[in-house]
Formats: sequence, C-alpha cells, structure tokens
Amino acid sequence: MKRDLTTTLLGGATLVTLLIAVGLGLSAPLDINQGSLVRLMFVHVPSAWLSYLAYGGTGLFGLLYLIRRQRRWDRLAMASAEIGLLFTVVTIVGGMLWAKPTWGTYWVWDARLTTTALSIVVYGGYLLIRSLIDDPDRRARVSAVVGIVGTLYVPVNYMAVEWWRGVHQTQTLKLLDGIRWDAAPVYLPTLFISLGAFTLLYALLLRVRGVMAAREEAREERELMNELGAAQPRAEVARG
Amino acid sequence: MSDPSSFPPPPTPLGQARRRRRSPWPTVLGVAALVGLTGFIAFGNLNRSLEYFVTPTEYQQQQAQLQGRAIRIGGLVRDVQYDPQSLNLRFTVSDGGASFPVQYQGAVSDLFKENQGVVVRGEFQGETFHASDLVVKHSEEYNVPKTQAELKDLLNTTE
Repeated sequence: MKRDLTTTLLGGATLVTLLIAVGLGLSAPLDINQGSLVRLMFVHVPSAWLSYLAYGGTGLFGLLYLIRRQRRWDRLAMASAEIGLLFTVVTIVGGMLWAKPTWGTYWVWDARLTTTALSIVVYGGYLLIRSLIDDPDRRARVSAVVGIVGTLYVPVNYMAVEWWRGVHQTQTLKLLDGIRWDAAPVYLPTLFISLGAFTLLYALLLRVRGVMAAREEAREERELMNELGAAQPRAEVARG
Repeated sequence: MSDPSSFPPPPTPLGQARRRRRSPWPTVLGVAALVGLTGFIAFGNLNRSLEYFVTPTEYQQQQAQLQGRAIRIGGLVRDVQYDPQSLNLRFTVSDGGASFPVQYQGAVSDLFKENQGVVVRGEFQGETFHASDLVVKHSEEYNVPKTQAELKDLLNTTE
C-alpha cells in the first residue's frame, strides 16, 4: 500500500480513542442491579450506532451517486453497507451476551430484535442484488435506490422500543422530548468516548474499504481492456 | 465513466445502442408502496401483532378472546415464592390494575426479584398461569450504589 498519511492518522486516532474507551469501560463502576454487565453498554450501544451510521451512509452515498453519477459514491455506498452488516452482527452478538444473564435468554422476537434481524435481510439483499448485476452503472443505479429505501430501517429500528411493547429496554440517552440521560452521570463520558471511537472506526473502515474497492475496479477494468486487446487481432484474422 | 472513444473501433460498426426510455412510474409506485407499508406496520392496526405481550388488565378485558390460547403476559413481579431446591417458582404478575398468579418451573435470571418487569409465556390452567418461558425485563436506568450498605449488598451478590 502506498503511504497514505490520512489513513495512518485516522487509524492512530481510532486506536487511541478505542484504547481510552476500553480503559474507561473496564474501570467503570458497577451497576447496582447488574454489576459489571452494565459495561457491555459501552460496546453494544456504540456498535449499534456504527451500524446506523453505516446504513445512513449507504443511503447518502447512493443519493450522491444518483445526483453526481460518479462511480466512487457507489463504491462508498457498497463499503458502508458491508460495514453496517458487520456491525449489526457485532451488535446482535454483544446484545445476546448481555441478554442471557439479564433477561434469561439469548433471543426474543420482540420488535427491536426482530427489526434488527430484518436489517440483515435488507442489506444482505442489497449486497446480493449488487452481485447479480454485471453492468457497473446499472448496478450502481439499482443499488442506490435499494440503499436509499433501506435507510428507513434506521428510524424504525430506533423507534421500535417506543412504538411497540417488547423486552428490550428503551433508550438510556433520551433524545425525543428533551435530551435526558437516565443513568448515573459517571457512565456518560465513557459512553461518549466509546461512541466517538466507533465513529472514527467507521470513517477508517470506510476509507480503507473504499480504497480497496477502487483498486478492485481498476484491476477489473485493466483485465477487461487486456482481453479486448487480445481479442482484437484474432478478429482481424478471422475477417481477413 | 469510461469513454467509448478509448476502445479500438469494432470491425463491423454497430449502430448506437438504443436506450429505452422507461416510465418512472413503476419505481415511484414501488417506493411509495414500501413507504406506505412501513407506515402501516408502524402506526396501523398491525401494531397489535407486533406487541410482544399483553398486560394483565388487557387480558382481563379480552379474556373471552384470549382464553385457552398460549399468550405472553407482561407485568411486575409480586409475592415471590421460590424454592431453590425444586426450582419451583410462584409469583403474581401485576400491572396495578389486574393481577394473576403465575407458576414456573426452572432457574431464573439473577435480576428476577420483587417489582421487576417480567414477561411470561404460557397458558391459563384454571386461575393460575402456567408459564413455559420467563424473560426478565430490566430498566434502562443504570445506577451506581449510593450508600455503603448498597455497595456491600452489590459486592455480596455479584462476588
């Protein structure tokens, strides 16, 4: 890989904030009911935030593609969807590990968990559709539309705990009518640093995956040109 | 965007591929239908099937429809009687308005205690609700112990 100062700096900043978040998270005081299990919040909430951010990114980059028609927006939309899927799985696994000792079960089909599982279907479908379309411009156009519609998942999943009765608890950091933090104040800075660390992680992963996708595309283009170049003389022979 | 002029000219020039001008209506209608469906699920009558449980008061009101069916009831735990030897658990699930006795067999989460939110799945046999599954709900409010006594209690229970 070529020297790329931005990626290096972004990687360094991500690593440092993640280490600070881990340090603060592991030294956070115990919760009166759950003890050390409350520390899972500093992984579970930021990974869910990252998945929202990534799915929002897929919608936004898809929209930018439709407006500008530049292939790089499509690559970023694809990269963002992959990151979103990855961190949805992280959120689900972290949540299951938190649910077992508190709720008494790994999984319940309540509204929040069911819609989260649905996002795997939506964005798995998004990546599947991409793999089925060979023409890059058509692929970009179709997946941009799917990505934009898929963004509906974010508000529905966020509001699922408010709209429907379920097992999953509601937001601790309430944003809906007036911002309120419904927990001991000591947990708030740790959560914010962890949220910041995961936001940087998203930017880093998006950049690295975007560069990778650009190189893949350049290679495919090169191979196609080579094939065309190799096919050309033979066609001449056949004609002559 | 690849520039077509950079390709070598084809041996037999084909005419410019004709682009079909498609009507945007199917796409627009499709997106509108998806948005409508989501809105319907979110706010419409389907709400009922997405609710994970009924409250004891709702059960009392809809007893005629719900009787004899496997359902989930959610409420607060009252009057816990637990035998750790036989894992036989009896308590009352209540939402302030109505309350029903519940019987459950098995280990429960450490968070299970008086006044904790709980969702039980099962069916009524006579007056008692026989639960086959028990899920403990917990609050989104996380707090640290405020007094020495609470701290000691916490350290004893979590070891």
